[in-house]
Amino acid sequence: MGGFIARRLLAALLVVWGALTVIFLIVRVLPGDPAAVLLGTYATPQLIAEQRERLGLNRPRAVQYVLFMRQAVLGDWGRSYYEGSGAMGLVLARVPATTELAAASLTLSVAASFVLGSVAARWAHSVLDRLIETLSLVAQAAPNFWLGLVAILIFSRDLKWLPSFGRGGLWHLVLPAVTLSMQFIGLLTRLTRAGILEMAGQDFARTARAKGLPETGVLVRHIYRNMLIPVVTMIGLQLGTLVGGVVVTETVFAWPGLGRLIVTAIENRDYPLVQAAVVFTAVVFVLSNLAADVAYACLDPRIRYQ
Amino acid sequence: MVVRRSVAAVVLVGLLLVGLGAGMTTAAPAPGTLRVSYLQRILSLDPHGSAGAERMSWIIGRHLYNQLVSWDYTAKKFQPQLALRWRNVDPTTWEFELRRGVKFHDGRDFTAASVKTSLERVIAMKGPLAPLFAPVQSVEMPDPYRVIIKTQDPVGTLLSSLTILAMVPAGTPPTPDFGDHPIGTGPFKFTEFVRDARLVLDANPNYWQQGVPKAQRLIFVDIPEVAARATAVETGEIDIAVGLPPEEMKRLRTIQGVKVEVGPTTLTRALWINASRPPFTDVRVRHALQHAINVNAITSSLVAGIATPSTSSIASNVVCYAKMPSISYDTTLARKLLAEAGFPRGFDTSIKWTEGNPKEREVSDAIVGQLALVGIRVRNMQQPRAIWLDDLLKLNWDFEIATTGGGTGDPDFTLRRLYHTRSKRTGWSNPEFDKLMDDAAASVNLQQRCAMYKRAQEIIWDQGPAVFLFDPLESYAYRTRVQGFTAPPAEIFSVANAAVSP
Repeated sequence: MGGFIARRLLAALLVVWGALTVIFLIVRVLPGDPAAVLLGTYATPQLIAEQRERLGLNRPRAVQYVLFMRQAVLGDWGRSYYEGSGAMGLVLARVPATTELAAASLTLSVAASFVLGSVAARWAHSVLDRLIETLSLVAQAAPNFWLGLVAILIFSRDLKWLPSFGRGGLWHLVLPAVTLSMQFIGLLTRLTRAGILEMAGQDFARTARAKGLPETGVLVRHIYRNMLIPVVTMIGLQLGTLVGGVVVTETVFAWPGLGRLIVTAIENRDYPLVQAAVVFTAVVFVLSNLAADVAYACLDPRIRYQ
Repeated sequence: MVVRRSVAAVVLVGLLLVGLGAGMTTAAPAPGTLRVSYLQRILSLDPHGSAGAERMSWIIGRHLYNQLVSWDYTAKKFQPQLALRWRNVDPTTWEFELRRGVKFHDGRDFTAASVKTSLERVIAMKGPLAPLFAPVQSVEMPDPYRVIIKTQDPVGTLLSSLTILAMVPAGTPPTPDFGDHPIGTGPFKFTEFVRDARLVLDANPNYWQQGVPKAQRLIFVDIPEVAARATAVETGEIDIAVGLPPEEMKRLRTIQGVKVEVGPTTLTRALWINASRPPFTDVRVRHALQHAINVNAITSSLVAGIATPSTSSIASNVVCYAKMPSISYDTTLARKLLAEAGFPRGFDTSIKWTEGNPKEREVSDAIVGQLALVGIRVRNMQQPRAIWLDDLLKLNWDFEIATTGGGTGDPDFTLRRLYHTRSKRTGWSNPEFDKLMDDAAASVNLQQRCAMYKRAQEIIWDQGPAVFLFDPLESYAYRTRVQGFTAPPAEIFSVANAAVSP
């Protein structure tokens, strides 16, 4: 296991370097001049030339790349064109807000979809099952921004139960987290239900029933453990979608997180900030995939890594 | 069994949450706290840097900082701020007598050295404000409360440029980290800035103006989504919301506890025509466009209540504004002019714009539809801001939707900066206009300048480098518990006189 993790970490470094190189090129190939965006409609050719010089954009791309890589190895990700402060610092400052939102909605998604999926599977083909099926389809299909705005109108404006924007106490978290988790609840509920039904027909389940276990016991002790693998895989894969959803949800709820930072950085052609944000996201992805692999081994003793 | 039990538990927890929720009202604000949500995000608190020409920077500039003078939109004259008196010793020498006893938020005195630092800093920062002060040759300090500014040539715009130059402590280096802990002399002092969330300012107890500010704490809240901003003022989570579209204004008008107002701006929305590209090099084509666009219809429907039709190339509350004769909406005349110019069947072209101002998409759609009626086929091109700016500055466009004006409130800021041949911004060139602009900028006599700007406005109106659509109004929705706030006379405003009743 130790050797496996070491090899995976080495591969992770390569992945991060690759992501870094790709994003370095992509931001520079995109049309739009960072100096012009920085100065806005007040730009004059002279001011643009001065800013390009100051930002080091006049050098050849290859030189820029070598300089960037050298600084990156030393842990210096450059300064944001707009904010003036260190790019990685700006990214890390946003991590708590996004982690809070993502963790809350992930927990909520997993908990809710497990309960709903189990209920649907336990009473498969009943009215309750159909209802859950329909609702989960609707939840998965409804766009985030629309759900968010409707939730604000109902729970903030009309009922006055919850704050409509911003990050603060637990109450501020409710609407954005629920909005963000809706799609995952929809997806995971159906996945859980399908997984349970599939496992329920397997030999080991029949054996468990035959030895006299009640149906609920079969479900909890035997079926759950076997259906966790696809669910964990799906959660790992969906982390990417979560980041996409975070961007929209953060804008609707004025949540000062990573998603909004990345979007504005791209809009502003703030190269150092985009690069820092992408590196950070790449690292998180690689580590979470690694965590999913390790989780397989814990969940299923048959899986071993060498 | 276990499943049923866990279902029951979830239901129970859910009920508990709902119960708690019902008992909770939205967090009540601390007394004396004023929460304002504006339509732009705050880029930087440094008043002289790359964000120095953002509208949000100017608004913060009215709270954190002071300027030497201010422009009084009602009395139409400059008023003293940190400068008490000023005079022209000669056309290239300005003498300012400073207010005594003014202290920065950190306790240091405001003196002539602060003025010198501020002027030198804005030039050294090479931001968008730098060109305004580039003609400044030297700043002398005969005594701590007297400043003499010398310019290379006579600069008629110096006073109006000074209305947006924030005064910072003497010796502030020209580096952007000043924006992390900004220090000014303004009615509010810096407390906390959480990017993309809020800027918290606290009342400056030692402010030089008696009884100002009225609020103890001022929070600029960032709510990017316009519907969410309208909801927040409705629920009372914020006190003042700025920049709402007509439909939200209409709805908020019916809400108890919320007042809705509009106020003038110094802005003008225009359809720019690239006069350096055929067929727009022909003035008859530009005239045809002027007659083909139904400005009144656009103003009274798409931006109803948040704009008035343009009556000149600058907004009616910009200094030296002169009202121009109205241009008829006449598609027959437009077709005739196009035929004379050699385009009886019209031509193909495109319009470029970016999101940022209210109803930009609807306005561009209307223009495309109206020009189709005279045979001009327009491709509607929305662009991301970075690409739009690139094309805009490189004159790579036929039509542009431009919002011009703002800033110093001086006609020079719009007319010379954008329409002078040297500026290369619209592709239009007119020697008489250029000379008027240069002469007006070099005159320190406001009356003489206004006479020249009037002639310049006539030339633009007649030559049509643009079809001027409307002067946008700024919309304000605020809670009735806010006292002393009314729609300000321009889009750059201060809420230092607004109080909040508990």
